[in-house]
Amino acid sequence: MNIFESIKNSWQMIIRNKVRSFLTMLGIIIGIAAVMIVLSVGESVQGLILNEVKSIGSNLVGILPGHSDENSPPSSVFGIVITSLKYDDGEAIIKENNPHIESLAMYVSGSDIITTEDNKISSTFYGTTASYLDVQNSTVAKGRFFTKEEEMSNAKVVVLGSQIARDLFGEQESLGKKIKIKKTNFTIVGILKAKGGSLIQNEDSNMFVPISTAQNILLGINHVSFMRIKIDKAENIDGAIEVAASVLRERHNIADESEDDFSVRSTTQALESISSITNALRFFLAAIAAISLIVGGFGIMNIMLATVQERTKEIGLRKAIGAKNTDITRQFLVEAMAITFISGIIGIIIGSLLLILISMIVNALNYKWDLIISPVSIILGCVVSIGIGLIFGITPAKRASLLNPIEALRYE
Amino acid sequence: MLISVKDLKKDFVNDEVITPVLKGVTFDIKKGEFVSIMGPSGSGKSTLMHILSFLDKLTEGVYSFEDRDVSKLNDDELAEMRSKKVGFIFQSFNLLNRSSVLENVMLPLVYTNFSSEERIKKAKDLLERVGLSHRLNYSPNKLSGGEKQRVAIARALVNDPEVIFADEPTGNLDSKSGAQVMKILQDLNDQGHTIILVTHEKSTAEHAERIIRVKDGVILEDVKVTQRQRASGEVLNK
Repeated sequence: MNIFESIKNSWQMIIRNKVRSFLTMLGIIIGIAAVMIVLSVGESVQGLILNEVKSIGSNLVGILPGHSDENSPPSSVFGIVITSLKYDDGEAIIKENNPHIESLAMYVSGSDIITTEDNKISSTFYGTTASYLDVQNSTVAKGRFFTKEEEMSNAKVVVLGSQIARDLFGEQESLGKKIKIKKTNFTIVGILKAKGGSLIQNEDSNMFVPISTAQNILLGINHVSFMRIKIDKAENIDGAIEVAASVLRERHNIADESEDDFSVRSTTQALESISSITNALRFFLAAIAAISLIVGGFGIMNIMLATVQERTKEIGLRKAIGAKNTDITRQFLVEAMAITFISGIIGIIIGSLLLILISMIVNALNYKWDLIISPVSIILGCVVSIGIGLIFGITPAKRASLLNPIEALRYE
Repeated sequence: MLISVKDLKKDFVNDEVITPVLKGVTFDIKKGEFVSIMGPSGSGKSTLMHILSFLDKLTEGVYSFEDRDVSKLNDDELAEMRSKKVGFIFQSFNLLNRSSVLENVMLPLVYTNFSSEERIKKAKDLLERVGLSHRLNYSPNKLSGGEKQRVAIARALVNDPEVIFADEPTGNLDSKSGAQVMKILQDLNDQGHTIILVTHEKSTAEHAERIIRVKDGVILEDVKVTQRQRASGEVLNK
């Protein structure tokens, strides 16, 4: 009995019982497609995060208020307001003149309904320092960014991201126009160059005002939400973190590391913790998808048992004309594997189509999303589907091979 | 001696109830003989055929085929004997409807080492001999009963068996088709094939040269047919 004959048999069985076969195969098809999508989307998210590191720069260090240990982020990440970081802390770090610290930016943020003469949009605004461009690797497309003087003097100027500028003014010239944030008029002095979407923040749809203006006029606070330090080279990050931390400890009268009221993290560390979360999520989802495969496997087992029953007479005949038990086992096992393999292929095709659809949608939403249909997930899909045929096909195949040929021939 | 049976016994065991089906039968069959095993239903004739054709195992006694002790063979060896030594013709034809006529005839060769070219050639030759070379790609369910049984005969011959077992081969056929089938069997016998026919009909049994009558698990008589019925019908292509 050769393999092609068995595959032909299985194909005929699928064709003859179209509805039944389709329903049987559905579990495997869905399972394989789901596993494939989860794994590939996971990989794409990983790629997205990597792009993120590249776009922000791997040589950035973030300082957040509040204590944290190695494994968990500071509570400020979860939206709890901690006021321990001040503007002067940042200034003090810069004044250290450490050769590896190139620049430092500070941030506060809020949101409001932004109004122009004829438009209203709800948006987030950032109060930041003039060093923003340097730290974030951003460039101004039109006009200018605000200056150090404006940063410190409550100047009512604003720089718009490219997207929010379009949203507020369409194709009209926006430079020099006024917008209203929290009932205060701001003059638009610059428009940033479009950067494209990113996972953590989307600069294009944000707006930036001097940090003093944001603190004193818009928010009425005197702390900063976080700082970013740009280091000259990635290998100097650890040293720079130490410098920044010791300045802050001195200023906050902290004797011991364990009492820190701030957290210093490199971008890489932060992204690593994100990717460890996405990894865990990915395997969890893959495990759920795998359950569908097990359910599908039982469907295959069920249908193969029915097939064996239907073809009892054929089994009797085959035995009478010289088939050994192993020939019969092999025949039905190969048939089961052919069905699951065909299901697997269909699942891979459907999964790939959905992945293409997902990437089209995500790209349309202006995120950089690599369409990853990895050969590994295709090979895995094939191997797993054949494996399911093997595991769930063995019982029906054994049952077929152990039929008594005389009784099988008499079966009606 | 091709087949030699001595004091063969077969019991069926069902829930500790032992039912003796064959109670000690003894006979020899020489190569080239045409033997009918005759008896009413329940006589044990089918069980006897199953044992002779390696489908079933005996309980007691001796069965040697070509001087080989069959009772010592394991399942795989019995399957190999069925594959190489015997051909089957069934009352209900047992053709696979989803395979073509040609594929049906080739089926026994699936379990042998013949190449696919050889399989096709052998099967085509035999279908020509039974006059069905124009039906190669038909599905069996498009054939008449007589044609089906001729396909089955071609299938039984495809592995060049020592013995052809025919189990009520005319039972599902009209008398004309039945006569044709018996004619083919007689022609095959004339060409030197050993044929063992199992039937409960006297008229069918009398196409053979020898009749072994079985009843209640024992042989009633074992006689030469004096006036062998010659079936007339379509001549087997030589």
